Amino acid sequence: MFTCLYVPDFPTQAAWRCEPSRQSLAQSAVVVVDGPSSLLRVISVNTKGRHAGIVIGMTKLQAESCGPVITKKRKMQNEDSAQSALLDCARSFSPRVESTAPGTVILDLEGTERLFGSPQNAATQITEKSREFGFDLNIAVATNPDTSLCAARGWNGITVISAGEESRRLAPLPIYVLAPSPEIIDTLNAWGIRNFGSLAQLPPISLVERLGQPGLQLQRLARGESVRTLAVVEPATDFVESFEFDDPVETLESLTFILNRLVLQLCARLTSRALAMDELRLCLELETRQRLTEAKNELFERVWKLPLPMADAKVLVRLTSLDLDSCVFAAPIKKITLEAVPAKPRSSQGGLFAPVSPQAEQLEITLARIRSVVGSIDESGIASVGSPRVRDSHRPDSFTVERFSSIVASENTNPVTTRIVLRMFRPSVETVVELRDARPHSIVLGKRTLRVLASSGPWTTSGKWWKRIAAWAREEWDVALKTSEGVGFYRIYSDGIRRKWFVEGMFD
Amino acid sequence: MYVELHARSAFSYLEGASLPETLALTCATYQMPAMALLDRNGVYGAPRFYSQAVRSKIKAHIGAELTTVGNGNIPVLVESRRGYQNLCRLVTQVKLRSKKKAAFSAEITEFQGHAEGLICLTGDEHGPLAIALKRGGTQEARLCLSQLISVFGVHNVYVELQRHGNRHQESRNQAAHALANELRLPLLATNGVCYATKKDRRVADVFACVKNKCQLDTAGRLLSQNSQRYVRSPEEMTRLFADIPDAIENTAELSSRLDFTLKNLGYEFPRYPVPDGETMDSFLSKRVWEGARNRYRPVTEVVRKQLERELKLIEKLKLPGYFLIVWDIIRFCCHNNILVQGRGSAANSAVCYSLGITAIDPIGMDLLFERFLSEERGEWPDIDLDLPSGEEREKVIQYVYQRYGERGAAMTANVCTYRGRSAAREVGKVFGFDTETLSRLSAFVGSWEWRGPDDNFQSYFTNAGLDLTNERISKYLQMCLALQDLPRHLSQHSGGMVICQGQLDSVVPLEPATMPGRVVVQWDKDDCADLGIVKVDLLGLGMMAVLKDSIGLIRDHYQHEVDLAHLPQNCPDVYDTIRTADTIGMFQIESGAQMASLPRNNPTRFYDLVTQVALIRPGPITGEMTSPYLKRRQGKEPVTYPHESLIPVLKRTLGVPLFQEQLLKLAMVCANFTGGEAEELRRALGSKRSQQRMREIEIKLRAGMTKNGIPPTTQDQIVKFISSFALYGFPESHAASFALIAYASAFLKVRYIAAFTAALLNNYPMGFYQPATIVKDAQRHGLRARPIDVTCSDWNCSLEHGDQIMLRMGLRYVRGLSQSTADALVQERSCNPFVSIADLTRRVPQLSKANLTMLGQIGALNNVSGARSLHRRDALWQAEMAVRRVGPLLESIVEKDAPSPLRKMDVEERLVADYHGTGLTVGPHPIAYRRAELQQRGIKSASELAGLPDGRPAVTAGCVIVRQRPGTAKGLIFMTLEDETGTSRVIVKPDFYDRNRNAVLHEKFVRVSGTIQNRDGVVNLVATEISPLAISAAETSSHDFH
Repeated sequence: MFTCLYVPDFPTQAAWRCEPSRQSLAQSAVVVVDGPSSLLRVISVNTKGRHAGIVIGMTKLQAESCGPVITKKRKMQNEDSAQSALLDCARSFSPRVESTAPGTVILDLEGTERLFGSPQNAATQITEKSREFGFDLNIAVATNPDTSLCAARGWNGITVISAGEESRRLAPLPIYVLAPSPEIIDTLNAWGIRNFGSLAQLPPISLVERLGQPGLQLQRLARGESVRTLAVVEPATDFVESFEFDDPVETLESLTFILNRLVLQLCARLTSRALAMDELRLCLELETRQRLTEAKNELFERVWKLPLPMADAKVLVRLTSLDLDSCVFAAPIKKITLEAVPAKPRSSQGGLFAPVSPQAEQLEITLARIRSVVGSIDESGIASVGSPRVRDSHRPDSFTVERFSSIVASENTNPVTTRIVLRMFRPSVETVVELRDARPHSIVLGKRTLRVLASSGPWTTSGKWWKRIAAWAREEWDVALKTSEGVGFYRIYSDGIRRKWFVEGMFD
Repeated sequence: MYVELHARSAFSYLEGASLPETLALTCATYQMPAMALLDRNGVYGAPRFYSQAVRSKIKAHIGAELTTVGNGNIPVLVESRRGYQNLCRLVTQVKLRSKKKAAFSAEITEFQGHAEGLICLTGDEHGPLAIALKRGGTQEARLCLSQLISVFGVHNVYVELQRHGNRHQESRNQAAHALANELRLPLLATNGVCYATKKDRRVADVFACVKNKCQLDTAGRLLSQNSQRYVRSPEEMTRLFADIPDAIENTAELSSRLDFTLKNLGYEFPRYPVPDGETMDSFLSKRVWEGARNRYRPVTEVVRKQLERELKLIEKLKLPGYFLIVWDIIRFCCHNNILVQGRGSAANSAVCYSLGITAIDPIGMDLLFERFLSEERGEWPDIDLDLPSGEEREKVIQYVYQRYGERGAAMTANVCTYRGRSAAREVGKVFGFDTETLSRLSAFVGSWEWRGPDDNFQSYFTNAGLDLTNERISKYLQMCLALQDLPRHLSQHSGGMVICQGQLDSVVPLEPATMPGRVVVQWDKDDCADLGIVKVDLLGLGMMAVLKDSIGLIRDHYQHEVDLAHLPQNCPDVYDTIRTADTIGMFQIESGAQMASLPRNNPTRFYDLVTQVALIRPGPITGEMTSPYLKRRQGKEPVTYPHESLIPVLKRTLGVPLFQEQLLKLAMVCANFTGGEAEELRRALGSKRSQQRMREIEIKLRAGMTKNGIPPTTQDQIVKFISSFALYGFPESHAASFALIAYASAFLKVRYIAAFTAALLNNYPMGFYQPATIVKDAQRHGLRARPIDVTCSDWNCSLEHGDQIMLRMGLRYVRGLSQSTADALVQERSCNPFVSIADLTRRVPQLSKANLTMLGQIGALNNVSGARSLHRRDALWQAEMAVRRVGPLLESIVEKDAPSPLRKMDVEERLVADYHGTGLTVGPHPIAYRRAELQQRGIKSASELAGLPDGRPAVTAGCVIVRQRPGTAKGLIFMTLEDETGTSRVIVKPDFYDRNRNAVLHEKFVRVSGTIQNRDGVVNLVATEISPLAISAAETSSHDFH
């Protein structure tokens, strides 16, 4: 016998599976939304929400206008872990488990009668077990996988279909449960075929003549005659190690100690399966902090994308330690989870004539070292370590920092013809400028006020007016200043947003 | 003094961000004496710029930026009329050569023959000088300037300097300055204006993204560097170019050289070729007297005097050519059996009546000639010709092209602007919103004629589920608002043609329209009218085509010959039908508002129809003239006159002015206005833009009335009468032309309903109602309608003979079936009847699977197998196999259709299939199936509702066929419901609408409770409760007027 475990409204259940208040949520309208933050749309809704008039595809605002509703943003991670949990739940009853679709699992219960009793009993036990995992399931037991799948999709609760009863029992199910292609569903609709029973009754040869093999396959499903073997899923290949501290730790030393252990284990597991990792993810669960209204866990997450797949524990430990050195945690650490994303190890050999480049592992450590000194991002949110790249923008000195690559960029074919060199002050030096007739008259440089002998400008640029934070406007002047050494040439600018003057640099 | 001589408006399409009027106004604010508008590759914005400049008392110089091959955009300014003609011809030459509508690329050599009277500037960073400097430095730039000098002459090239706070630009300026000194060329400071104020730069950035099909976030340096290309004040420009004062002084000097304005356009209407020994005047006179003898039998003294007066004025205004040309078009129509009727103010002219241009006798109806033609106005007359829409109108248009040459005649343009939906869509893309969101938003953009306080972008955004507190969305909203009314593209006007003596391309540039064989001018019809260019409107009128088709069908199936010019007048059965508001499908008198007033107006003769047509217009409604008129018609109110001097003017309309002519006469009688002054008054009122003009005329009007001893209260009433016509009313002549067609349509419907209904359905879309309603209405009048059937339906709906003449629905109503496929089917069927669905599929390979399925679903394949009729699902079952083609070996074996294992469609399924596949059903109305149940629930039918007394509560139900929210109805929504007994009208008040928006707007079948409003037999139900009614899932549709 085959048993199908089907989770209705899977994204919603996945989102709230681990919530302590899960049971009470069933009494409220609950939705999961997804999409860009400016336009979140409902992708799943529970029964209560449907009753309130919420339908899939509504925007968050529209859903909220239907009455009190609890919303949560979709996280694929939740759904992945829910699927893993569903598989784990199924595996505790049979080793032969198929991950049929998100929220749908079929298992083969053949030979487990002595352990779990009749199919009805087994289904009841699965239902109870599934509640521990946080699911409300539809369960159907039948003699073939597809019949159990259709029954679980079509009916709530537990359904047991005994051998020989398939066609009769499935007959009232609506045709959309079969999820046929849009073209076939249109044809069936036009024919007035609305349920399994009427599809089952059509003459098969005539059906094949009209709908081809897909039509026949649907009819077999509708008659409960489909025969197939389960695509049994292998145990997971996710490499996750975690450790929960008895007492939350506050020092980095204690953390590093455990971290080393976890990294070693991960590397050992990967190596045993001839794999390496190309990404290492760290998740630190910080001690619960009591807020005014609710208790909330806080997480500290870090992802290291590696330049090439590696499984060298020593390198990885140094990399992670260096990076964590500069981190400040908001609270003591309660739990640490480390996940490796497996990848095939590097198999290519460096070219004989390829230019010498730093060893990738060493380079990554060096970059991590720099990051630990300067920080990973600057105040404006731009990465601090990597290769700069000029942006397509009118904004002077505008650049982004991209991941460092040892591959040499192609040489610029345009020879540089600049004759005057501007030495940029980084950061620009704030100054005070006195204007006369809308032109700079004097500038404060250091502690001295210098008179402007000549000026050229203003050279104005502005942009990003559609983003309040990123909007910029500046007015540049090139000025000749009378200094104690003679005449100095400088570039100054007025920041139209901050309403301040700066010296940007000095001409050689 | 500085004059801005290089400005682009939004008519440079995505290259400029302000309207020409705004630029002119900004310029006037700075007290600049003149400004030059140089739009890209044309003079699109010139008339509007010129008109505003005249009002703002500044001089409008004209020019253009012309895109060239390899030399960028060359800005040219027009110095003289000759220069203007050269510019227009050059633009036309290049435009008409281009394959794509918007493409423009001139060779520098093409300027050679067109340079006289033009002054060349060296342009901005996309100008010839900057491009030459970039390409080959000073050497190349020198060559470029020499080339420009050789083309335009040494005195006609100015080296342009612009300063937008850009270092590269300044270095170019230095090079240009040096070259100008070397070649002794004058310098010219301009600001290369693209928008009026600094903040309009945002619009320019959005346009840059639209043009480059990118988003703001990824546009990078495609966006402008700063906001400096705005209209700068002379002081600011003088300060900016303080180091080069010559450049500023030269602007004033150059401005003084530019003599040309659009006032001296040099437009001349073409001369009509006349036989030797004749002049146009004598020839016209002969044709008029010939016609008059035919029309007026006999030509009385009054007629003779009127004709002489009109002919004299036509001669004086040198307009005989115009009349002869229109006469020539009419003659062409007559020879080619094309129905044509002049309307509008032309019907005020006895000359037009005599020439056969119009069908209304202005003398018999005492119409005011000044409304048509006036010596004082100095304007061209305007003749509109109604033609059957479609091929026949195209024939006439092509005739005009052929007769006056490709460059002698053209269609006027239609300027499409950014409105609610288009702005939301374009700007949304620029801000990077996904298409689904944009479609959703577009669906919420309100398009009712009436605008409530919530009909604004803010509420559309909120309704579409967009959060206005989000910064990106609020910026999106701001830009949608900023783009409103800016020009988006140029399209072709539906019928306005301009014709010119000599070459039209020397008056305005011409360009190809998207439609092959059509040429359009760069100005719209208002611009043409403002500049005194005469146009003939060749308008397609669906009803003309219906009348013509009906006459053909009547001839073929009833063996009657109907002559529209000699229809029996005052037929009692026709007027009975009209009086009872049984007017679905009739021209002009079928709308809900018309139906509501017909029983009160109670028309019994032709003139009553003329007033009826004019009655339901915004002018009479808002001027509160409709209601008093109807009361007086019913004898419920005494006929009074504001002043006894007005009795002759208002007598025919019972003391209430309904027509524009009466307004003119009112001014003439009360305030001693001349005919021309009165017409000037009408135009001032009609133009919403000129408040000032209106005030001036009102003062004059009141002064005249005071002089005539009219007391102030009566003056107020008269001014109110007149000013309400600002909201649009009909001239009597126009109403009379329309009433003729209305009467003809009513006559045909009453006497030949099968032919009239078939013609209506074959000319859809037109009129007020959906085909489903027209068919149901005809069925209620006893017509039998047969469903679509591939064994006998043609593309068009046709007539069949049985015990009576029946209507056979045509294949044109099958959703998704193209005419070419249907024609192939009909052609194949005429050779040999189809014996099975497989036979049909094999012989008409154009039929797709979707076509066959649709035909099967609507029952059109039921009779293919001959005597044994299939049901719809049998046909679908066969069709599904027939589309799976077998190999060539088995192809010729034709199998008979066999019954299927599928059950028959039930009534509901058939209804759903009919509405889905054809938009209508010829079977019973969906409500009819549920009548017994509705009756049990106390729900009244439309016919029962019509007999209920005023104030009685009632419940009705029906299919919503029309939703309307007229601009003049204070926010009321009128819904027309239909059931098997007829139609009923529901009034929805604004507050009720706000509470029940979804049911009012989106439900197909509704149950409405409310109170009966029965006024003089006109019954409405004022809704107090509305709920959806689960009658059928059929996709019925309503005609929602927006």
